[in-house]
Amino acid sequence: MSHAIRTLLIANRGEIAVRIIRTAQRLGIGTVLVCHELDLGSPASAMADEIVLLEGRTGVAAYLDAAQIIAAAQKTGADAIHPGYGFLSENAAFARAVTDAGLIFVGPTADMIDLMGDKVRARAFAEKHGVPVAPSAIEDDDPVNFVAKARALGAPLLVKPSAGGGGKGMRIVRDLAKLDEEITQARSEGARYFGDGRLYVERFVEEPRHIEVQVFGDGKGNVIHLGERECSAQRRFQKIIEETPSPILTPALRERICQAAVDLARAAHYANAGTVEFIYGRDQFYFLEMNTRLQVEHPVTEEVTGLDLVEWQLRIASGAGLPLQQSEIRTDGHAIELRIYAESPSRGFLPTTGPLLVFDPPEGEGIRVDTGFGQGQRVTSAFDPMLAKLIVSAPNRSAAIERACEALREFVILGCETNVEFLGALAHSAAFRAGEVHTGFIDAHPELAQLPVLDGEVLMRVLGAASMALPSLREEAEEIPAMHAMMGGWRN
Amino acid sequence: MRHGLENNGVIQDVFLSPVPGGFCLHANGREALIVLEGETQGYLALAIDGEDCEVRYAIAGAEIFLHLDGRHFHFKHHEPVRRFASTETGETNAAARAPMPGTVVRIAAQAGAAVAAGDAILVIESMKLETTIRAWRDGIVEAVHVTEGATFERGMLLVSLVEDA
Amino acid sequence: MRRILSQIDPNSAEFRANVAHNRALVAELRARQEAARNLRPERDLERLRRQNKMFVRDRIRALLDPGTPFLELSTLAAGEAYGGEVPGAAIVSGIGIVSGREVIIHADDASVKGGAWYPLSIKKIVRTLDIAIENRLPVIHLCDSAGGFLPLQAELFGDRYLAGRIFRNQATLSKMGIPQVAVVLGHCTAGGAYVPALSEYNIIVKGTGAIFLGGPPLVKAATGEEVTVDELGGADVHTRISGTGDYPADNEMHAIAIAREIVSTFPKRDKAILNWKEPEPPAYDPLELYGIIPRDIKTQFDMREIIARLVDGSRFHEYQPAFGTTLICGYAHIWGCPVGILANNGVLFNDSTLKGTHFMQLCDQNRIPVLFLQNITGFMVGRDYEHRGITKDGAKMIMAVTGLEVPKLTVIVNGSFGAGNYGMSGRAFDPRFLFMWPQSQISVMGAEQAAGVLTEVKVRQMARHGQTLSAEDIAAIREPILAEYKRQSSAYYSTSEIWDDGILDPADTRNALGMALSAACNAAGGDPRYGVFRM
Repeated sequence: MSHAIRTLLIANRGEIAVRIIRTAQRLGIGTVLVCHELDLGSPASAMADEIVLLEGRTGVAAYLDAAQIIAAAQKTGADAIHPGYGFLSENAAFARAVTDAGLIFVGPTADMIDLMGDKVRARAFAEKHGVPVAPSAIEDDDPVNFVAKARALGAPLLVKPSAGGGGKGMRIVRDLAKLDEEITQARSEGARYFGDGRLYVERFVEEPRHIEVQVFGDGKGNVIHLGERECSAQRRFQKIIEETPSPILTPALRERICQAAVDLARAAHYANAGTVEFIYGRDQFYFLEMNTRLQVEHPVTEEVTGLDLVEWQLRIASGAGLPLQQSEIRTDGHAIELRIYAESPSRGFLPTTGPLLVFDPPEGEGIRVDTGFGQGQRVTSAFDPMLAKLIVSAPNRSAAIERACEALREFVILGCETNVEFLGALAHSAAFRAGEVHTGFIDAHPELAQLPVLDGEVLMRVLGAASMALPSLREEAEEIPAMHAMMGGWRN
Repeated sequence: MRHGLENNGVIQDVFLSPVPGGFCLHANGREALIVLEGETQGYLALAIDGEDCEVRYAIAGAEIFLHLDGRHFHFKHHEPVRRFASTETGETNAAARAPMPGTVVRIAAQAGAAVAAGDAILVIESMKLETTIRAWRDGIVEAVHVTEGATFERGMLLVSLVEDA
Repeated sequence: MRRILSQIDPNSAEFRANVAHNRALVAELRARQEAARNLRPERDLERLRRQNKMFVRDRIRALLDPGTPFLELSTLAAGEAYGGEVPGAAIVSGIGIVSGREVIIHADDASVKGGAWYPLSIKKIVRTLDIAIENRLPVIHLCDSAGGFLPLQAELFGDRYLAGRIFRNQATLSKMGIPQVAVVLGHCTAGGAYVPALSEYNIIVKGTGAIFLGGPPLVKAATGEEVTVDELGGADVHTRISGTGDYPADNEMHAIAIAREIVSTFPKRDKAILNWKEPEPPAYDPLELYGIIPRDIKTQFDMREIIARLVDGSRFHEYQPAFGTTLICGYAHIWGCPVGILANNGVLFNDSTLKGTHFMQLCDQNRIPVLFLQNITGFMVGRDYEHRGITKDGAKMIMAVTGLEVPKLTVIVNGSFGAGNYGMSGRAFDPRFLFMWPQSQISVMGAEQAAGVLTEVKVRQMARHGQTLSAEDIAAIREPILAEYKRQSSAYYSTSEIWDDGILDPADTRNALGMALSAACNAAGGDPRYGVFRM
């Protein structure tokens, strides 16, 4: 079925809404944005052709209101809905409701979302189709012996909620004596956050690297990959820096991992964009999960391939096939994405708020900034605190790291504390430059989050700048008569 | 007397005095020469002890945000008079007394209520003017010594606050 | 304007001997000043801490604009009195910059006898306020005094220029439109209560400051009423009820911050005397003054060498250079301020006396301040000179000095004896400021001369009673007289009695004069009433 999309409704907000609208505009597609009142005045709301106000008890609740969103699409005559990432993007019921309403859902089918959304099912599917999985104990398979099987795997273990994803709710257990306790807690968290307390346990790979592969399918069994991304720079399982290509993979290993991802997607007759995530360590890689949506870090793939992934999504959603064949995919150079958050690294990464009195991203060759914020907006605690993504690209990795450090130094954000300096420390660290950062690295090095003590020359420069910026200090200085100013602190 | 710039719980004393060609910064027990080379809204080009320094800054109330040398900084500005005023002044600040005779119109916060500085506690009326007695600091209302509709003389105890434990 | 060409040889033995001698004198001055300023018994400092009070110099440092100069006056007042137990007369006084305004500060030093006012303390406060009046300087009082020192009350109460004069001066300042700020940091009792009451603005520190005409003990004795310090005259009473106090302050730093903010509201007034130039340091090093000042007061030196190390660029326009050569007259600038200078280069003869008189009138006509650099033993005596009218000529000079409308400043560079002191604007002639140098001497006549005269009188007196004296006897009479005379004619005695505004390190003189001129030029004085008489 080929159905060109004339009007696209974007069921999301912030930087991804801007991202989608930008491509839609380039392709001449009309845009409708659903928008909670907290987001009125955002850059996305200014770009969209039309806005439909969403009501909700909270901002987040509004963007999770499937009925309102579909109604908005129908009211405005949109043909398709792009769910972005997060919110309803991996909600199979929503995808189903969209297609039931006669609209195009820009993403895979509800069944594919279902399959990959249940981590235990996805894992079983992967194993069945020859994708390596980590030794594990699955509660569903054998609830009675689950804990004993888990214990038998041997420490260290990773306890994961079946209904979870995106790294949330996972815990590492190194001391088997604590296993029962950890399992109880993981269960209650799973119930609380995902509405489902089922668990599975895998052997934990020490110093694991997170490698993921971007795939695209046409829904008819044709799948290609656009290379891998490494996302090992994580804090508490949340990604902070992503890059492509991975500095650790050999060409052979790269080939194997990408092929495994393609094999999995093909077996699922996957449609549209998806990312297959793996854990890699000690020359072994294991399937982690598959995300059936566009990922936050997709820009690094775009930078090295020169492709627009949102455009690919829209094309495939409108019924066209894959725009390119595998042999036509070229990658060139290195790209790094750094996530800029409104948080205070030196104070335990506490989320911060404040007005963006100055929000001045860097510009220049090889620098791209994707953001949903603009100068003058307020950062509040209503939504997730990601302010922007800084994406740098360069001919090689060390040039990219240089460029990233320089761009971070030039990114001026005044009014709300951010992690910009922490990102710079991380990118500049010897471990990162050597390509040795694994997923536990940041948590094991809390000193990276500490600000250097303000002292000596640096302190004088900063105090000098502050004193000159505050009007009252200069005014008071200018009151002092010239002769006495020249005599300075003389005493008789 | 110096202005205070607070960062991470540490307050630095700062003062500028003029010198030929620029200013002298007095801070941290040291001095530095500052020359202003150019400025526009939110931007300063300085030379501090001979080293160039480009500054972007934004001021919101008593907060000043700066970006220089590739880093961000944030200070709270304590201007001299308020800086040295004490916040713990003991019993003298524990109670509010009636500034003149009047009547109690409405009690907005009862005994035991937690209040933030500026929250209304009670409204009194005198000479056809209503005045709202507000909490002068964060705390808990220890007691409201009058009832709605009651009249009072000047100097009478109206409400007492205690610190939030 | 031409530069003075120095004739001295800094490498000569004479120069170097002078340097060693004068550096030692300056070291002694600094040691005495340091002790007077900061040396206190630990128990007195401990008492201040217990009372939650800051040391007076810390208060002043917090009050003044950082990075600005402070000209302290009469640091060594009472240095030779009261057994040396009242350094600085328990008062710190000086001119400085607060919130960009030129002010004079009177601060009680509670670390000295609780800040009690001794007779010399009263004199120092009155002098401070006189300076304020003459130079139109706003005053900041830092009040922290135990009150008048009762055992010496007869010397500080009843007369015209004693305690009452403080309050008369305060009221006069107010009438002249010159504001005062009083910061009450301790008890202001009885007379002392009027210092804040007569100030335009006052601030009282809660808990430590109080104002009352009679303290609780006196009140109890007078009427039987029992009342606490705070209830009688604390911050709350005066700032909420009586209206005697303007601003309550939570602590001393808060009070000082408020005082600074008050001063920042004072209008800035233009100097009355304009024509200031861009300042220029002297072409010769002021430290060379140590080599020029002689070790013996009788040794002559050329005052031009002193002038060359005080004035801008060492530039000096000498008036009547060929006439009356024992008095140098001329124009220069100090820190950019135009000044006329009269400086002694020997005894005053008829011609030099008349030249000085004429030149002073020129300065008045030019409306520029006059600086007197004294090194004078007196007018010339002898028949020839009397016949030529030296007394008449001296009278003309004194008439001119007294009649000068422009501000006068005096520095006693070396000797100041007899009527020479008068003609060269000594204390009695109201120079706005008068400073001494460490080796300066001031008396009716030289010590040797005076001792000789007094010994002679004593010998003749004893001879009348039939006693003859041996050489040793005469020496035994003469030595104590000489010693006492020398003590009472020293700069330290003068400054102790507050006959001057302070002893300066010669190398500091330029800066001190700069600040003094800046203050003086706030009040120009009236217009001269005659043209210039060619003497």
